[in-house]
Amino acid sequence: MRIRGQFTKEGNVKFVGHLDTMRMFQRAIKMAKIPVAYSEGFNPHSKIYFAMPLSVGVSSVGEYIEIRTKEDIEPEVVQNKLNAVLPRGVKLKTCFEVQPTAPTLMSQVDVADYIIKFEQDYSDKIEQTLCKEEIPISKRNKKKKWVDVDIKPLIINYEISDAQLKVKLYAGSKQNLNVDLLLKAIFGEDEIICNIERIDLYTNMDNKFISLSLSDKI
Amino acid sequence: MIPDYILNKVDKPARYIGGELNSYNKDIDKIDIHFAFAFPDVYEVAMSHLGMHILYHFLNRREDTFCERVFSPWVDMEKLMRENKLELFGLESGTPIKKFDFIGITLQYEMSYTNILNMLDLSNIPIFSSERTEDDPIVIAGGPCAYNPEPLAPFIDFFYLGEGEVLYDEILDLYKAFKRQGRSREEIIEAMLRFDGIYIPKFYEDTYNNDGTIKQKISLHPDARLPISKVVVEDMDAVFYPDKQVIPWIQAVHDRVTLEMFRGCLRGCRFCQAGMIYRPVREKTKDTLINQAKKLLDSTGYEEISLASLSTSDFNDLDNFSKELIDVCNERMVNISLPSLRIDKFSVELMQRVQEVRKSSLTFAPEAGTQRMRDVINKNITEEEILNGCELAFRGGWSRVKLYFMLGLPTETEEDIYGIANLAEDIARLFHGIDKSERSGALQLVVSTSCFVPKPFTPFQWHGQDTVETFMAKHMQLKNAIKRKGIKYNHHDAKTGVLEAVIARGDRRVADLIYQAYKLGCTYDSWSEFFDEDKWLEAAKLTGVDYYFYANRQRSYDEVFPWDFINIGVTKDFLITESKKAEKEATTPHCREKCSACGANKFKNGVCYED
Ligand code: SF4
Repeated sequence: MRIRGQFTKEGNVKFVGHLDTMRMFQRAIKMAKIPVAYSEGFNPHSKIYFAMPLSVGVSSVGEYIEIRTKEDIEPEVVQNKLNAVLPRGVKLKTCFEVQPTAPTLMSQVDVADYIIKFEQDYSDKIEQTLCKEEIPISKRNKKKKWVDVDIKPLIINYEISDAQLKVKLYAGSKQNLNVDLLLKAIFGEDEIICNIERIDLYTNMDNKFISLSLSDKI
Repeated sequence: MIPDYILNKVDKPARYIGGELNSYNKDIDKIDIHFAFAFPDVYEVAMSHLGMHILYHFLNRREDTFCERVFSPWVDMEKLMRENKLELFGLESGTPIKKFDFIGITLQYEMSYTNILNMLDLSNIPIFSSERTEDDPIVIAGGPCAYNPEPLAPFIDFFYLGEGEVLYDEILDLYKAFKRQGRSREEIIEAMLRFDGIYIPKFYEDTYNNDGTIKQKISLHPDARLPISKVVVEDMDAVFYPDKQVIPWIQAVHDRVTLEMFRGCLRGCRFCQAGMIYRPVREKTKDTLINQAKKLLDSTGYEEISLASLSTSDFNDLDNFSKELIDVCNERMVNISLPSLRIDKFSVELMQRVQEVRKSSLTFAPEAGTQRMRDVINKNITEEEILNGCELAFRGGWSRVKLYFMLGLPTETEEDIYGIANLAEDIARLFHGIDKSERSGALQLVVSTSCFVPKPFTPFQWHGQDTVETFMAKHMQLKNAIKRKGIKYNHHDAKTGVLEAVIARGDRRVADLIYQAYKLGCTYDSWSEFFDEDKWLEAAKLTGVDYYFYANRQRSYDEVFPWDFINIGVTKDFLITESKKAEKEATTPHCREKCSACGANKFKNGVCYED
């Protein structure tokens, strides 16, 4: 049985890296006595999957996990049992079942929402960059070579208010813009104090963005 | 709490945030005692330490007490803390350490001492005990290195000699009562004199002979006892053992839960301090262990359990216990790991039984290369046993073997050094002599030598250690002797080894050296990338502490040692007898073969009273 959950990663736990967060969930799932399924082989590991890594230091209210269980179990039971053991800041907001034929969680990620809160109001500076037709920036590609890319097409929309920027970006394996690169495009090498929060992840259905929290309905 | 902009800048920020699975969080307004458990090394190292987990849960089981953890910040974090004037804080609540009632420091190795001073300084707590005031926590130190407390005497308010479970409840109750009565910090510390097992340095003074050796230890307070006895747990089945362990955020050295099977060691190897200070052997029963194993696995979700004890295969009921444990673990898809095994047939069979699928590397510690040398150190294992053990292991599918030896043991000759190379060679031949179909992979044999550091409370406490030059010559000799492909040789740094010996057998004057080295910028001395020998030598020059006097000088049997005032059960007479037997290459049987009347039976429990 495939059970998905949307969870938060708020407060200091945002400083726990992606791999360590995965390890934490593995422990927590066993502690909560969820009948998780195991892979075969010499070194069996529990079948737990995540939608998309979150950078260290970024908090989130829209992370996703999928747990494959070897026995049927009510999603709500999974949610309650896990919430009873999960550390402060990590909380399952919803849990639901997906069909055995559903695509993997990771492959469904197309878009991510972020809110970036700054210490001061940088509205003008942000607007100046984001309103351009093209936003070129150099980044390292997969072969570790520096290449110039235009990130404008990866920004779906944005909203600036006071000291806050809300952005919708393409994300996932097909095309991806991470927030650090976006900030670099705006501020260059300047050190900016800000708080980044991921709000949700979406799948793209004919240019309609559907939250992964509804991925049982797709 | 450390602000985000700092955590965003440091490597592995999860080291500083607390809140792990199975960690505690308590309302500070509702507790009476705020205790900081300090491990003077970085998070990952500290979190791998079993004693920390035990004491943390032991203290937190009290409702009136909140025990938080505090570790040495890594160098990048320390720099930022100093630049931003941030004080060291408890991991659980972020409260500055200065506001705690106690800071309890565990002393696991001498090379962590400068980190202790640094942690006090980062907490804004005066480094010297004499300069602390009502605003400062009471600074306690315990752990194996506390058995020679003197090199830290000026920095510690009191030392705890023995196992934590014995006295801490009484100490905290007393503290709470005194606090309620409005008694001063000084009065509280003084009141600790009532406990045997507690050493309060300021109530004692050493006098010295002209040659620099100690003449006498004098008590400066009518209640300051001489000698002071260590305290030990009597009933290992009844004593508290945590049913959970804090699960570190960052992968620790090993991702696993640890089960302590017994305390002490039967064997009596003459170089080994743990083997003496933890006497007598006290075991838990099989049922207690199985029960604890189940609880620990359920509460942590770990996929590996490690059986921790000094010599695991000496457990009395090992056969039944291991069978039952294997069942428990198979049910839960959990691996068993067995550190510290002897290399005999029995142990290898046990390894085979528990590690059916995964063949990790095998680690054995013959400690010395020749039978003569092994007899001197009372490592009761023969060459034949070693080779048979290896053969079994090779046929069982292992091909990676690590062998640990020591260089610079008392009476060591060239032959003993070459003996290490010869033994490695014999093991390699043995491997290649086995038909390819009956072994697997290519041989990877690692020979590792450490520099022997004579430790207090061992039969070798009188021994003059090799100099750095001698150690280095021996390293070269051995390196040249190990030439075969498939055998790798590595050795520990001689300079660290000698400094360790200076501190391990140091007296109160060595405290100056540690303080001076710290002032010159030394921290993280156990990390080779940070160990700065020049600064230590400069500190030695400035303080007049002579390495030779402490490390390399051969002592006579009538010398008074800085640690003689501590009674560990094992008597000095026994140690002298053992030292003399070592010279004669005579071995001593282990406790279960025959009691050698070491003195530890004064604790009225454990192996001394088995029928
Ligand atoms: S008194 Fe005898 S049995 Fe007890 S620890 Fe000493 S040698 Fe072993």
